[in-house]
Amino acid sequence: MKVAVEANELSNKISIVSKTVPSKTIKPIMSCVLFDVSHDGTYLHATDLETGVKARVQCEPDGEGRFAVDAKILYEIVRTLPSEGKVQLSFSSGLLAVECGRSKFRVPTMDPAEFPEISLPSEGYALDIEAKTLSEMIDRVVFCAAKDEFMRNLNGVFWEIGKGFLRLVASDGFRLALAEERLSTQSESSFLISLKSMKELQNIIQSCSETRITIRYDGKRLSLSTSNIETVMRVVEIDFPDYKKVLPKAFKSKVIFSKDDLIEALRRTMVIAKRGSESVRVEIAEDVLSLSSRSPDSGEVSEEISIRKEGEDIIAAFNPLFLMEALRHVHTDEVEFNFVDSTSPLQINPLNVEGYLYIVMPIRIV
Amino acid sequence: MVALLDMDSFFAMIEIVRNPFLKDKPVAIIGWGERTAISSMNYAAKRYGVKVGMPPHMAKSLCPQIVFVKADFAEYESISLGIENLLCERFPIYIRYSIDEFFIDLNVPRYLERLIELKKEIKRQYKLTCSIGISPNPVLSKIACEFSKPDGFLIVEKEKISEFLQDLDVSSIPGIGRKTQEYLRKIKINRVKELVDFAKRSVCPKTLAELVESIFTIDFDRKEFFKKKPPKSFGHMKTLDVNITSLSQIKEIGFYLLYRAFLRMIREGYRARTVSLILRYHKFQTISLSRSLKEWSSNFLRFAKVLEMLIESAFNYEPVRMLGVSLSNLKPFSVEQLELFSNHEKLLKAMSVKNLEISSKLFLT
Repeated sequence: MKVAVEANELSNKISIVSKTVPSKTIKPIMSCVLFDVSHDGTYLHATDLETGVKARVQCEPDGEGRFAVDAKILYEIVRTLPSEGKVQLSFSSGLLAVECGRSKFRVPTMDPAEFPEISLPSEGYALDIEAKTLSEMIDRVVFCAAKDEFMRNLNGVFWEIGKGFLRLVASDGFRLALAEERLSTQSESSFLISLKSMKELQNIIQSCSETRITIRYDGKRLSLSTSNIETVMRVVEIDFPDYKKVLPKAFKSKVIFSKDDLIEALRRTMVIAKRGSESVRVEIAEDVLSLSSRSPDSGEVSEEISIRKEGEDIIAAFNPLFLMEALRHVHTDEVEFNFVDSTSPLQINPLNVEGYLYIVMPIRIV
Repeated sequence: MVALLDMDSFFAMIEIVRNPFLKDKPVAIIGWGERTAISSMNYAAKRYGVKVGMPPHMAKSLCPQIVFVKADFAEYESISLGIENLLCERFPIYIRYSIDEFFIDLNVPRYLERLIELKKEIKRQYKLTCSIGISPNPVLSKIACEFSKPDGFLIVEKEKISEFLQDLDVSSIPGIGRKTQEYLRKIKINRVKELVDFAKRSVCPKTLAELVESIFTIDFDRKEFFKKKPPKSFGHMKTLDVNITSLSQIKEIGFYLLYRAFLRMIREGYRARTVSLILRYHKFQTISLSRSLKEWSSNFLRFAKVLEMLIESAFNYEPVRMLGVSLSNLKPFSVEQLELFSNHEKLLKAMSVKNLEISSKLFLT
């Protein structure tokens, strides 16, 4: 069996699917990508058993067949080949020959029968959404998910599909991000998708050319099909915390200010904060927001920015990185801080934009 | 000058105060397990040759009438903290050397009065006696303290060091263990004065010569000695009474050990990033694993989740005889990042208390 493919196309598709290949695995077959050449087309498969990806490769096949080859080796080979020009893949007697110009590689393959089958849910609920919208929603919440894998209930993004909306929520236990979009949905369901799968999904959405995409959910798996790539991801079977309970209901103080002013002030405050207690004191008084931080060895800093305030003066302390990351994901010029008190969650909203909010817990100075 | 305050037969005396029936009887404190050893004994038991670390059956053969009391470490720790409170009211600089030993910097006015007052106050509040050795350096203070036991108070002025030491047996010097003693006795060195002469000769091993020199030092580095060294980790280990093959029991014991390490860490004002697990199987094969959080934490639940994962990956269903858990990679706890979904009270209620009860039962029966 032979396949002739443009180097760019091969490199692009291997790059997409190989992100799914687990970095450490007990079964050697799991570190492979599967080539499936049939009359339906040529597909590259990769899976970590939680997420599966199937990418269609535009090529000229000669014959049919399947082989599995180490993803890392193949990716490195393809990356180093000249980007212009054709790559000739030939598979026979358990060996894959990769030829491009005057370069020739021969790499061992593995039994394709051992490779786990990737099947997309054929039934279930379908959600039609604009690719750019979903990508933005993911981008706005995914950074808040817990990075530690053993925090299984927080190491992912919670999907909530209600009548007329899709909501994504992520939290690491200290902060929470929520993005919501009005959609013409009729059914209701909720599930948790792991952080790794979410990054995979985002990667595929960003690399697809379609403006609208269809997400399918069958109760256990979530899938996305574009013209060239199909992906399926298993839902994490664990309860996401009841996030609605921690959303503040009423506020004592509302502050509006320029996002860039606060980002700049925070950037400077962090010079000292990161050398000290990693906290920044936020004081709201009249029409000024003051930031301050001190370190026993590196000195102290104070900053002020102008604000518009409704309600009471307030003093609270926060991890400056949490504030910074929230502000960087806000796309409006002005931002709203809504305070309850110094030990309750702070709610951050982009000004006059619905569907996005960010909650951050304060720091208690011991 | 520096003092060493050492409680006399600390654990055994606490038990005797709690239970006057034990008075005048040879008493030894043992752990809860079957594989336990003696951790403390009173002077009546010492007279029979009973020593720390001895298995109970050996102590029983030396002293058939010995009474074994199972240790109550929480009580000992609490009394030790009480004694430390009395100490820090009188002396600004000291270090806790062990649960019942404190080195005290005497660079304060009227230090003798303060020490005598402290000794009296310990006796009055806890009905326990202690011995205090005072000298120009910590090693000598330790020797003086041991020499003065029980209920002693001995000052060795710098002019009297040689006079005090010369007739002492070499075994009274801390750092001279059984092997060194055997070596010295072979070459007919039994008393400190003979050791001092030997240390001047070139044939004397360097470490031994340095040890002898340290006893005579009159200007030790006080600042360095009393500097509070930050802890590297907080951990607990448990040799199990019976080998365990159940994953859920391993987890329960692991959580119990973690909980104790966690409480100590919080009490001393630290946060941690790394959780470590040691499992020793019945054939003494030992596995140790660690995992770090992305951020420093003071949240028990997060550590418990890491520990659970470590146990699940390390445990191979062979009988386990020893389990150890520690928290390391520490940072002082100056701020507390509040949590969205949990608080400590809820947390303990949800997870530890139940497990603690089960674990305690496991240890007690």
